[in-house]
Order: sequence, then C-alpha cells, then structure tokens
Amino acid sequence: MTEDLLPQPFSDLSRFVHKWDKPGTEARYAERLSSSMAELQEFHDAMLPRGQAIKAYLDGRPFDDYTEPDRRLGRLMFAFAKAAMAVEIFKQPRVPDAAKYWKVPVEPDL
Amino acid sequence: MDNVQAALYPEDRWANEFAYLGRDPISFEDTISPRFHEFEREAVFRESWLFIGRVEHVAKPGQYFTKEIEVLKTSVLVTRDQAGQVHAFYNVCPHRGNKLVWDTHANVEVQGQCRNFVCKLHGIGFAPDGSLSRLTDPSSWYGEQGRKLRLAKIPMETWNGFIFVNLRPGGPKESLREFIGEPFWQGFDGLPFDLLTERHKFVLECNANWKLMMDGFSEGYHGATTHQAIIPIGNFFDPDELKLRQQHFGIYGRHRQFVAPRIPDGLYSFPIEELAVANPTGPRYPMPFEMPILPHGADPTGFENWGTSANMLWPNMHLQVYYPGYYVTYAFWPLGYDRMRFELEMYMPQSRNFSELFSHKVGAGLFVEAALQDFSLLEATQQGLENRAFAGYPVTDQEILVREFHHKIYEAVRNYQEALGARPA
Repeated sequence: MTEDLLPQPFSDLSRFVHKWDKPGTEARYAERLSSSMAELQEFHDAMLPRGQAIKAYLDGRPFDDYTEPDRRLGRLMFAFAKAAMAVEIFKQPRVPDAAKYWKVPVEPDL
Repeated sequence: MDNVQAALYPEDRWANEFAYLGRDPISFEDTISPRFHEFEREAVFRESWLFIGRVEHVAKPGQYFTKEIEVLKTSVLVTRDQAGQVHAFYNVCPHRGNKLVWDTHANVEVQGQCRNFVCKLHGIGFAPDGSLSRLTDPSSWYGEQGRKLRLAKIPMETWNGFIFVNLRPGGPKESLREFIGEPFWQGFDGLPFDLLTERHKFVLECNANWKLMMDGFSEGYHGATTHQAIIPIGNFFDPDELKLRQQHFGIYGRHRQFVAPRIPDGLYSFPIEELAVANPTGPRYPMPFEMPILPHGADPTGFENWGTSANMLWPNMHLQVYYPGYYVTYAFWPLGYDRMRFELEMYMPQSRNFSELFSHKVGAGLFVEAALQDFSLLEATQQGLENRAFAGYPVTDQEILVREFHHKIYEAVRNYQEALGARPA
C-alpha cells in the first residue's frame, strides 16, 4: 500500500491499525474483550509514551482540516484509552463483575 | 471521633433533620413484589411529569425522536415543526391505531429529520405539527372523518431545556413548575445548559428493579468498596470516616439532593488519567466558563470545594452536575418489576481540539466503566432481596435518601390505593 495509514511522525504505530482502529466505543470495547492481556499490554506500552506528542500533533489543526490518517490516529488513541483501562485498572480485559457493555447510541468520534 | 468530626458530623445528623423518617429498618417489598409494581405504574408513573429528552435533540425544524415508555405502554413522538415549536404526540396513527414512527423493529426508538411521517399501514401522512399532510383514498372516508385526522397531543412542558410529558388520564393535576417546585425550578438558572451540547449517550438493561439503581446513585457510601479498583479512594481522603460523608443532603417535596466534595485537581491514580486529564467523575479539562460555586438550587450551601450536585427528581430522573462544570442525566425505566433500562447522557462543552475531545471521551469511558460495576451488583441485590431473608434492613444515616425515596414510593402507592378503595399490596 502506497498510502500512509497514520501521519508520518507516528508511522511506526501503523502495525496496530488493523486490529485497533475501530469505529466507536462499543466496537473498541468488543475488540478489547477479544484480546489477550499480552496484546493489550503491547499496544498500551507502545502508545503511552507517544501520547503527549500525539495530542500536540492533533491539536495543531482544526477537526475540519483532519486528513484520514489524522482521524485514524485519533481513533487509535481512543482504542488505547480503552486498552489502558484493562491494563492499568482492572488487570483483565472485561470490567470485573460486569456481564455486558453499554450500547452507545450517541457519541462524538473521529 | 475527635471534636472536629463530632461538630461536623454529630450522631444521627440526618435522622434528626428529617425526623419523620424514623430510624427503623425499612422494607424493600416495593422492589420485589410484582403486585406492588402494578400499582406503582399508575400511582408513580401515570401521575407524574416524566423526563424524556432535551429540546436540542430536536434542534432544527423537522427533527424528531421517539421515546418508548414501556411502563405505561406508551410511545411518544417528539417533533419540532416548521414554525419552530416543539410538540409531543402519541406515536399512533389515528386511522387504525398503528404505531406511526419506527424503523426495523417497532419497539426500538428512532430519531431523524423529515417533512412527513407516513404510516406504514395505509400511507396516511402527518406533518411535524401533527396535522394531516396526506390522506389515502379520500373518497372512501365518511364525512369529515378522514380530513379531520390529526395526531393526538400529549401534555408537554420544559424546564431548563429538559422535556417532560404527562400521561395522566384527564390531564396533568399540576403544572411542571408546581411539580418540580423550588428550589429546583428557578434554582438551576445560571447553569450553562446551552454551552453543554456535546452529547455522550449510554444505554444498558439489567435484571433489577429500577429503584435499586436510584438508591445506588443516591449515596456515595458504596464508593470505597464497589469502586475500589477504579477509584482508589485512599489516595484522595484521610483514611477515616470523613471520606464517605456527603457535604449536604436535601429533601424538597418528593425530590432529593446531595452535594459532595471533589477529587482534587491534578490528582491521578493511573497514567491514562494523567494523559487524558480525566478521572472516573469525568473530564477534568478546563471548561470554557467559570463555575466557582453552583446555582443555589444545585447547592444551597455554596460549597466552594463542590465536586458534585446530585438531584433526584420524582420519580425516575437524576440530574447530576460535576466539577469542573458538565452534567449528566440518568433515567431509570421499569421494564418489569425486576428489570430496568438505564439511560445515561453526559453533556459537555463542544470539543474545540483533540485534547479536549480525548479528555471528554476518556472521562466518559472511566465513568461508564465504574458504573458497570454498579450494575452487576444490582442484579445480585435483586436476587438477594427476593430471598426475603429479612423483614427489614437497617439503612444508615448516610443512606438517608434511600430511606426517603422508598418512604415516598410507599406513600404514593398507599394514597393511590386508598383513592381506589383497593386493598393494600
């Protein structure tokens, strides 16, 4: 593929796009549930140190000017946040004791 | 307790303030009795103004949404007409009673924008103001019966942009203003509802009576145990009883309120919180407005360290404002005596850049994952109560609003039964 999936400063994170770039919170939680702790940890540990730089990069232009790689990078950050809850807080993919997840009929996204 | 604590938190502080509630263990028969639920439908839901949405959900002319109120077997259609006026109708075609606005599955709520609502049965059309726009086969109607078709209005009023409807046969017995009363009616003036339009909506169903969730959100007592993983509360407060105590409890007619202090700014428990500037109470990114204290209806104490004002409106609406200045609504809808649907909507300022959007989404995510833990416990509580192992449960002083809510529920059903001449449940 000749087109970059992510903005150039973050192209090394492209390996995570296929698995983690999902549309919306429900899909991101479902992907988290179907992942192993090793996969969640790897994704989390790659994204966390880049987080401030990603925020600074995406803050640098209005939403209306975002390219598809920009939006994809933003969605990857949302997926990382979901993975972080499993890795940092609950130490497992699923919220403990919770049988099911929410439906999310309305939310802002990228 | 030392002297400072004793002065702030005397024994039985809230039982003394609300002496009519007493201190006896309370029954949760209202939560586990199918027969009680049948009376509650009428005594509580049919008699009340019910919160079903906000005016921004029909911001433009032609926009609409439907609301399923299963506990009253009623489907409501809310529209904004071309002149800009908001209406609530029964979502029913007046020809043969078919449900008018729905998509693939008749019981699923829909929203959108259109010029006409066309009934799927015979193609009759209605404009957003409820008037007839298209009559199928005009010559086969008797007299004026076809031409006079229009949608049936439901009494609807608004408060701070919140839409309420009233389904009482014969019409509401009081205005929405009388129903909400003070200090709430005027007391939220000054809260910037019109700036808080970025909407995050979450819906969940669970096998528990609707009142258990209301109870759960009416006290912070459970926070230290239920949420100990996601909110390690020892980080924020002294490890003594003070951490569990609310700043203020209020009872205003049938409505309830508590005010609690905030988790301090800049205090994070996890790296994702620090990166996102958020915690399980929501986003901590600065708001585009200042709110050093809350309007008096949200907090009569003017507490400068306010963290949240939780306002429980009768019967099933909860409006909670969170520091630094966004709000959520909860609605708890019965789907049966032991099943409910919970709708959570979070309203934040429109994100102006990615950092704000990230703070908002991560704050919402932490919030809902914490709330998920409440849900599984509710189902366990429902099952536990149905054992009927105990005739009464010793609810504590910090749970005064639980005591008050059930007191009002029993009172409403008792009054309704006496008016009917029925035997008690």
